Amino acid sequence: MTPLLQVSDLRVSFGRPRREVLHGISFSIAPGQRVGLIGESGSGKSVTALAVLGLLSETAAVTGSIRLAVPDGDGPTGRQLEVTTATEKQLAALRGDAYSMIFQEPMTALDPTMKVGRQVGELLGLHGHRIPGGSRSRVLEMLREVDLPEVGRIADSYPHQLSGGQRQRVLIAMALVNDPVLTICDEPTTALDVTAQAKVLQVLDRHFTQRSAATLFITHDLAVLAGVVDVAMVMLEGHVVEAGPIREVLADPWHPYTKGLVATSRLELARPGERLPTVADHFDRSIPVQGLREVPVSWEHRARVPGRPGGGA
Amino acid sequence: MKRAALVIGLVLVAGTVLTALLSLAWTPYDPLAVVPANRLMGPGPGHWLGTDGYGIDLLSRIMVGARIAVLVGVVAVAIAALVGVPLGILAGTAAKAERWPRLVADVVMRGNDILYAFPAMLLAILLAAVLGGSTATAMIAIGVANIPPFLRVARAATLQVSVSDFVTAARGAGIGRFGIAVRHVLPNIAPVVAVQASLAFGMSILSEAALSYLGLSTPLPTPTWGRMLNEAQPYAWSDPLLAVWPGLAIGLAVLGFNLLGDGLRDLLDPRLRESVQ
Repeated sequence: MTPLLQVSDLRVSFGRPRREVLHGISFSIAPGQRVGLIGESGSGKSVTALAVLGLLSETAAVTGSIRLAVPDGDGPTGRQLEVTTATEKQLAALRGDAYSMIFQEPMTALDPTMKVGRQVGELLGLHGHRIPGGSRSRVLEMLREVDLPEVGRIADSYPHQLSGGQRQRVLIAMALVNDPVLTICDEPTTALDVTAQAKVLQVLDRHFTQRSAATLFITHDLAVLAGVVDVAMVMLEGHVVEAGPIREVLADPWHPYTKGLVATSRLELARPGERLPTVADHFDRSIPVQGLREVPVSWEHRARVPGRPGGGA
Repeated sequence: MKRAALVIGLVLVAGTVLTALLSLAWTPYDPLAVVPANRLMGPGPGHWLGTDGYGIDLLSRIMVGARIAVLVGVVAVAIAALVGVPLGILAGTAAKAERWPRLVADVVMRGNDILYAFPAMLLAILLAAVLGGSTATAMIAIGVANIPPFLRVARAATLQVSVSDFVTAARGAGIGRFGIAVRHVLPNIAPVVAVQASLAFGMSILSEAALSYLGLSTPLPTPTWGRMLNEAQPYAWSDPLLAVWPGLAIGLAVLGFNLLGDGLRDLLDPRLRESVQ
């Protein structure tokens, strides 16, 4: 099957002199596949997400290839769009329609001057889908689908009148309203408290399951990832250092950095009075990071950095 | 304290506008009727502000003058905003775009700098020389001279709004550059534009007074505040009140719009900061 998204040797650099922040990463996402991307702040997760939809600023230099499958109303057409060379117009036709993105910051990703119902509705009309029953009813239906209460009142509210969790669900409604085949979730729960986070994850999981839609789910939180994705990549300093089915990665991490991540996420194992585990216990930052050449399309096999034993650092 | 400025500004502006509107329906005396017997009367129960050298009631003339001041202000600010704001948004949006839109933006900004450097009064005199002195001349000249600050303010605000998450999110949702500019940038820069409009209104009234003082604005016989100042000149020592009334009218109106502008800015600032973060 043609993958929805095919990234090969993606390199992104900023500034003058050029400083490379993504060092040639490669992976692909098949229809319906849920892929997690985990890494610490500054590891290049968000840059990857923005690059995939061509949203990086003009100051970014992008090399390599990012290919998005171009579907029409009925399904895949076999055509692919090369994002690195595409025009803004070609990209705009795909964004928010077949490919959508949920941003990290619910407080700032909504236009403060527009009622949220209109913001959801704006995207409905944008890609020329005909809506039976009118766009207002579709907007309310969508808000209901993300488990918002009193959808009529919320649709007529301005963003500042809603809570963080409600805003994030509005953003999710915006991202999902045109039934995308792939949704990029850039840390959608980071800004939320635990209750709101659980709600958001539940809504996303339900939608992806119902529509068998694919996702690239970005987070720094292993616990969040475990419930949402099938496979995961671990990112470190602009390299993908480990990839494979999420259960296996969590149960038996190969890369020392992943070992460290897993250890630090299991604080319940630490005894009171004992020093808490840190990533540094498992992973020596002074050793230069080496990345994976390729993450296989099938994701059936685990991949690891060549020349590095499965054992410790 | 800040609220007080806003309230005083509102009261002065409302006073000016209401006076102008009232003058359309009623003035105490005919603002053009020459009554030699009543010339140079001081303020009193018959003529509250007194009469001028032709015996015309000063209050009536001030009221009609407000009409011209407000009219010129409204049209001039409208011209400046309608030209300056779209160009400013364009320049702000294109500042980070690909090659040719950025070139357009640069040309617009340099043109704006040239216009800014050109003295407004000189522009008005030139226009008046070409078109002849009229209310329309004053409107166009003041309007064109006011474009540069609008353009700059709109561009700066657009640059600020353009880096906000919701603009990136809108791009990520497939909204085109035009849609973003009209539906997401314009409403978010509206408060700053409103402040600029209020300040420009005050400047326009001052400019109109200067132009009509020089005889480059509304022709005779319609009274304007600037012309009243001009006509009061021969009586500056004997009857200084003749110059004080129109001067006071100009001063209060300009002060009102400036206080309103400052007050609006303070009022809108927190919201502005929140939306731009």
